[in-house]
Amino acid sequence: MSADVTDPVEELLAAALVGARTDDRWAVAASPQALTRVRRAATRQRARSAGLAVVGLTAAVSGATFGLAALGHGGSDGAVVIPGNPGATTSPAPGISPAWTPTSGRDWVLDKGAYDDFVATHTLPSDAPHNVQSPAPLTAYSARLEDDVRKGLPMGSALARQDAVDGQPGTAAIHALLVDGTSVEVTRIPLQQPISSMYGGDAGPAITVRRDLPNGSVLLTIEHSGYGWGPGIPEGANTAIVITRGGEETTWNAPVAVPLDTVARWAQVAAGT
Amino acid sequence: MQDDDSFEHFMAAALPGLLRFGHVLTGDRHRAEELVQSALVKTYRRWRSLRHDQPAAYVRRAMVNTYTSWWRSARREAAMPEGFDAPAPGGADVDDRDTVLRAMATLPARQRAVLVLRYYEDLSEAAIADTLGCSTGTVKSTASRGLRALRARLTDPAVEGALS
Repeated sequence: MSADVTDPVEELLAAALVGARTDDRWAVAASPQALTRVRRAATRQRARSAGLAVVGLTAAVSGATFGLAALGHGGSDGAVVIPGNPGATTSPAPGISPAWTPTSGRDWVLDKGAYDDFVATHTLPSDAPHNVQSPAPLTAYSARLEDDVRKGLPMGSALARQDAVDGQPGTAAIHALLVDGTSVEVTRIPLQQPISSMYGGDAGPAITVRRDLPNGSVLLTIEHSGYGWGPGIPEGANTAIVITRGGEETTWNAPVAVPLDTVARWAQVAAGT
Repeated sequence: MQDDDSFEHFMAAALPGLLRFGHVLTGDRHRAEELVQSALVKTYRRWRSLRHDQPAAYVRRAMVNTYTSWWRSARREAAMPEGFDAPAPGGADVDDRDTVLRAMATLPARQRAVLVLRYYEDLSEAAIADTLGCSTGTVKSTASRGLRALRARLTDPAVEGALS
């Protein structure tokens, strides 16, 4: 196409852009962390979108169960895993074949080998297409998260609610500003499949299992996990995660200046234990 | 994991070119990094199906569409990279090239994207249409509008930065 250039301005533009292919001023050095960042971000997104089908399935199954009860047909034979309900009965997680039944929050976290085996031997639900209104309307899901976060964080923290994080319905976030100016982000998603303990792929960082909580949830931590990328966004954060028996994952991210033990304590208190 | 290994090899080979393309497209090395990362995350998540189907073209498409989407939502303006204010190494011809790139930075994202895909990537109109998800007619008219705007900026002596 460039062979057809006859206009002087077009010719100059074509020459300039061809020159940009080799002009050092247009070169950008690749970060040695680039691959890790991509894997980590993909892991987060996969976990977030994975939750969508759970929400839909749960709503459908719950609705069907309610309908049957209302019609006097008695209870459903199939127990339902309800994300965020620590008392949910143990039954197969929706959409995974062959059936997989988590019995505690810890079951949702697999070491790298077990995770690879799991993914290789199970059919997992696909991401659902999603459309959300912008800005996303606030829902009871984020209100419940706000209540939980308020229990964990120091008094006086300012909280802002967000639903449909990254445009994905069925997720929520709380953006908190502590009295001392520290920013803390808490996100909640319903998991659809187990996660790998190698949070950022082979290169890490790794998830540490802190303890099983009395209500069946598990408390996890990640030291110096990725906090984001791009200009002006600091790398590194301390992260605590609580996963309920039903597969609801609540992730607490705070700057590395906040000790990991402190973040873990906030998460545990907010989990009601 | 085999998929992971092949993605790592793809990324190692493609990353420098993708970053340079992103830089030319956005005019900002930080936005280029952000754009490339965003596109590679999408690619990584679909790697199993993309690995045998021109993944580089998929990444480029994701970058261009994300870039035009950013521009629509935030009206981010492209800029010239650092070092372009100084006299260009290479004399008057290169100065003129810098001038035209500086003018291109003021164009709307879609016009800029079409011109970059056309002359930097040397894509055909059909390939550009495929990348942008539009018709070849739209590609032609968008390129034409972009060039007309460039001509107006570069040949009007009243406009700062016009060609001498």
